[in-house]
Amino acid sequence: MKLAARKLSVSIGTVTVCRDLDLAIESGSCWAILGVNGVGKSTLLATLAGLRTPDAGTIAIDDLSLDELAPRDRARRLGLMTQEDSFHISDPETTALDVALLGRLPHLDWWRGESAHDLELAHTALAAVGLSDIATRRTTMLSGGERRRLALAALLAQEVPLCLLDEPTSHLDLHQQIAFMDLLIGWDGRTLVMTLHDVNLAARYCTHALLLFGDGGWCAGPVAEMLSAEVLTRLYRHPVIAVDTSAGIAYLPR
Amino acid sequence: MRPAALLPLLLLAACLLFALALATGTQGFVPAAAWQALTGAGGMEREVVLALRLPRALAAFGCGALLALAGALLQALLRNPLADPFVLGISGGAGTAMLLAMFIGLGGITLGLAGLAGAGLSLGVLLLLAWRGGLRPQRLLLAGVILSSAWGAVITLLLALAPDAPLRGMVFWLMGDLSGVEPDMALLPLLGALLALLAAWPLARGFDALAQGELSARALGVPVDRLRVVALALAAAITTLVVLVAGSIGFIGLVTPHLLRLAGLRRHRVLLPGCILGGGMLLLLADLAARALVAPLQLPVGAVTAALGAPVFLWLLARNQR
Repeated sequence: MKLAARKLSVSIGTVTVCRDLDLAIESGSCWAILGVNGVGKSTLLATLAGLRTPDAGTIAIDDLSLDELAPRDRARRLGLMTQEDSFHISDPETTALDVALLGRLPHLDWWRGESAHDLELAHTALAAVGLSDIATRRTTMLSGGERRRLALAALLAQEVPLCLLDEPTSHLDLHQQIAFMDLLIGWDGRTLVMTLHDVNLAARYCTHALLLFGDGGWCAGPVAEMLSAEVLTRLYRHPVIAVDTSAGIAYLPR
Repeated sequence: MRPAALLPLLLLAACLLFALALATGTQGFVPAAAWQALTGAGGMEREVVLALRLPRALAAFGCGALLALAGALLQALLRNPLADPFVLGISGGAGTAMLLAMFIGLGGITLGLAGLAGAGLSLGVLLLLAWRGGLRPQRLLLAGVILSSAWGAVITLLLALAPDAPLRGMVFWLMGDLSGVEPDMALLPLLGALLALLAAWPLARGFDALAQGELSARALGVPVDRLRVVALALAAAITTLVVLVAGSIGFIGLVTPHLLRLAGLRRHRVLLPGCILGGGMLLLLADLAARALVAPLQLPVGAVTAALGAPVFLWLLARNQR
């Protein structure tokens, strides 16, 4: 499934996130949205998810305008993993399985209970992120990393071809970041768009990158063309060097 | 056991408790007399059971159901486990207006109309403060808390200035009291609770999703704005109805949803119907205690719910900190 933006302008408060953004996210590709803190990465992601009205421009899924899709229809095509996960505050008795099952919500009619199939999908999703053992554990008892994986399980259970993820690797330590990204990339045929803090994860896993410069300026394209020490120096407003290592090129702050 | 399997058990328990309430009076627990009264025999006893205990039991159950349902809805709307039907000041507005009406010697239907006006005024102020292109829960909660304490101040003032004659009635009513329920009003709370359940139940999964955060819920296709408006409208109507019928009965709305979640009814599809049964039972039990503990004297039921509810809530809190 393809996601396309045309002449998209987004701003939040006094920050211009992007101006006249043209983006064609092809089916099966993996995009990273990069930029400094406060540049509006999450805002752009929410806009691409159809949850925020842009100042101008259009967004379409497979040539179908996002505005014309009913929220439920949209949620069967496109899922968003947010940075917030507050279920543990407002309802301390919620279990991990409850959260994973929420992913099935767009597929359920309100008068019908979850079927055995829905339950199976939720369990499969929990197994995929390695949380099978704690399906019945209360979410208050989960660590930050487990919560991120649980949010991913809910997204898996949602069975959407288009997945938008806001900082999917935050709260994860080094080996879990790699395991998490391996898992994401392993999903067959899904189109991924994620905001990332770690440019090296983007270089290692993503096919494309969208760079936001903070003044409304942007550039987008294949990772190999987008990422260079020179461009990243401009992007992060700090000198960045490229180091050739046995694991590929690494970008380091000077 | 599946959580939904708890609901028939709760229903059974509710029926048993109802029977207990009908059979318990100033003479203690006399099931045979109550049975005779219900099946047509027995003169005086029949009068007592049908005209006094039955309406009161129905009103208690209905009000408890309403309070628990409003509590669950507000906890979901405000995403705050401390929310209860009285947190938004809607009941405070209704209560203040009704006390004012009692103060100047009004009664009957005008008392009810005054309550409605007070609740409407509170709701208007809340919307004015919390509506920013949609309902903003944080603003709503803050505005509600402030509004509640403002009404509280007015109520204290009214009590301080009230002449002795209406004072006892005012205090009883303030604490929540079911002894004055009119028999022809007795079914109203239960009917209201069932209607509110019908209106809220289709949105149940949306409330589950909302606990994850607003953005997550919207990403799952949940119409968050509509959900919030419906929850607030229902909670406001419910709270007003309870205040009109029985005054301000605390703790049922706060504690019942937590107890039910603890028992396994975590998701709103089972939690909301559970609130009807659980809240109904809790208030019926509290009212039974209110009229049986120091019989033939009667306590205001609100004093009993507070005495029972506060320790229960503290226990819940202690449990969740582990």
